[in-house]
Amino acid sequence: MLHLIKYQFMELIRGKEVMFWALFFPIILATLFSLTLTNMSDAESFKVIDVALVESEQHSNSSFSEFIHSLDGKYVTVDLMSEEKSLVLLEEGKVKGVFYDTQVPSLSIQTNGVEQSILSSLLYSYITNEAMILQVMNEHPQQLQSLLESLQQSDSTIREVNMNNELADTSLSYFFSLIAMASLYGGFLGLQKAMLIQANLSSLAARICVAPMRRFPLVIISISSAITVQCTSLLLLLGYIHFILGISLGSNWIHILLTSFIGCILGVCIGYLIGALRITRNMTHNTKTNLVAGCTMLMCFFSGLMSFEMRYLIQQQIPLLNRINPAALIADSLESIVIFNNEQMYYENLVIMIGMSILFISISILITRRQKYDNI
Amino acid sequence: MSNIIEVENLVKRYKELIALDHLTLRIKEGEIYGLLGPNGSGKTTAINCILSLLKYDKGIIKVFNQEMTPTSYKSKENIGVVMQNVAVFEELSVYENIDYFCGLYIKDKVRRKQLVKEAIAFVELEKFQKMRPKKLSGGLLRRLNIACGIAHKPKLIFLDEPTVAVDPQSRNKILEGIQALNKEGATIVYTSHYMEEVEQICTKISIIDHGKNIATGTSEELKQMIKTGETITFSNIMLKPFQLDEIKNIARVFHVQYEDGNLQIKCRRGNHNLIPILDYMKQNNIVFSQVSSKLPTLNDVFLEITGKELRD
Ligand SMILES: Nc1ncnc2c1ncn2[C@@H]1O[C@H](COP(=O)(O)OP(=O)(O)O)[C@@H](O)[C@H]1O
Ligand SMILES: [Mg+2]
Repeated sequence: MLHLIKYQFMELIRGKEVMFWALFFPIILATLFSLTLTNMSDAESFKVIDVALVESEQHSNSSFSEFIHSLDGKYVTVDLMSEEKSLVLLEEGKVKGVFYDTQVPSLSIQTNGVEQSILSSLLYSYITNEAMILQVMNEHPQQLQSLLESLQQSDSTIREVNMNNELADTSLSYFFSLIAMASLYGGFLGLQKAMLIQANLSSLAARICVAPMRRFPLVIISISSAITVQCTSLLLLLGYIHFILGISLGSNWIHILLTSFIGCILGVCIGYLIGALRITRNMTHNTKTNLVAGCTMLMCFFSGLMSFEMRYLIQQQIPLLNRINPAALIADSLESIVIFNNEQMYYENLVIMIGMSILFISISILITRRQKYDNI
Repeated sequence: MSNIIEVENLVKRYKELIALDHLTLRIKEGEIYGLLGPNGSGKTTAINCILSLLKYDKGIIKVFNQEMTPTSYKSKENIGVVMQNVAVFEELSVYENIDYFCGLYIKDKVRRKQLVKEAIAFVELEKFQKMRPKKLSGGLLRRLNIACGIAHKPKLIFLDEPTVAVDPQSRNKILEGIQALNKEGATIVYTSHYMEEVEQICTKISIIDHGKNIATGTSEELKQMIKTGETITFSNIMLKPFQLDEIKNIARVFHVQYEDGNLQIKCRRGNHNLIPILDYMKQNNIVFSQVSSKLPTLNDVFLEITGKELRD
């Protein structure tokens, strides 16, 4: 048994491709992002940005106006004006962006730059808040008050953080998406292990299947070794972000670790499932690796890794997707605990993640427990 | 000697394709049993069914006198398999690969260490122990593949085309190795589409075609089964049609084929087939550049039973 476990680990850790995705790629991304962050704060932080606010008559949404006005003087200088005028000013560059206070608040910008990205992230953070406010209002009206208070608190912590020239919440969000991605890259490890379990997927697996080994312990050992290696990679990534890049992700370490680990389990399970499925006859390991990479990227894309607007767009249009997208679940749960200090939301996300993991792993075990194949 | 493997009327279909068509095999302890057949004849499919990796549609499979199932762990302990494709971990070294697979059978660490050492010596990979498979040449890789399958000293060893794409030197080493394993007491099931190899090492042979066992026996027995006892070939020979008929009437000649100046005569078994034919050529002043006589090969057996060459 020990022998088996030892080699299961060795095989993973020495796999260059797998370790690249699971460990080095996220570290590279984190480094790149921290570099752009430093540049950004050196050059252009603390400049107050001129913006216009256009209130629509039909769909005036006072809470958004309130939110924008509350930022007045700290991040932005707000001028309430008509749409025509705002567009002229935007054209001339006198304002950097125009916020529309419609039912779905929106933003017009002329160019892409750091200021514009700050504006869109402000909008994004409002939308995330609003979604949460609405959710709580529907489900637990009595808790609305405390939520609003906690939001205010977290708002002030964020501002404080910003004063100390540390991370703003949008940058934190980016790192959370990154952690989500890194966790889900556990899929590569899961895939690798699944390919070795089924005789109809590889000759290596066939060789293992003819040995006098019970299947179930083999499946369990292979999955748990993948999870262990992935959790370790993530620990290294978090350590790297914290100690080497010197970026603080907040003080809720236990929560962050818990989310990351459950994220890793979910990632491994997704990969294991994709590996266990016989999608077509001759589907090679390589094709499946690409499939896992593609799925993970798609999940991260929808969760806002590439642009923050994506997640709020989805929150607006297909909120259900955010509730089942593993990347969004991981990022959301981190955000809800670190930025909004909302434990309920946090645990809700975790429970969904655990549920999905159990579902995927059960399907995988059902598939891989079969021992005789129609085709090899 | 008792049967180690009994396969009775095994049928395996892949959708419409019938890969195994009522295949029956009886393999006795101590044999080097050859499954000889062209590519696609169903050799690998047969082995995968026997190993209980593949579902089959019909038939009975017994190994060590027990019905074989995926959970026949007792039987599996005594089986070693060398798959047709090289199946080793890229991430592990030569030593670690052998140790890994041996460890699936042998739990005792000390004993395993000894066995792995012996396996490495057996395939002569001592110098490459620490190397990763990627760095090994095709022949060495095949030898590693074999070592992984036999390190635990199984009583029954399946080798599925272990010499495909191997240089002649490695091939001979492999064949000698298989005979050595057999001398130490292992029963071997060996598949190949090279008749020379099968003839060289196998004590018993089944010729497989389209999933059917079309003939079984020692290579001598197989050759006795067919009409041909000797094939005589003349090159660059000029014959008139009536002469061809006259040659056909010589004793024991049962088949002549004349094409592009080459004459092939097949004779039934008997002594001195060549002499009456040469006499005939001399009497009729027929000239030719070369004559050769050859005893039947397994290819002739295959040809006569199936009407096609073993190797197309
Ligand atoms: N997974 C599969 N699906 C469909 N047909 C298959 C499959 N595997 C093998 N075959 C077919 O079954 C026949 C026997 O194949 P195989 O046992 O590999 O032959 P051999 O080992 O003698 O070369 C071939 O015609 C092959 O094309
Ligand atoms: Mg084959």
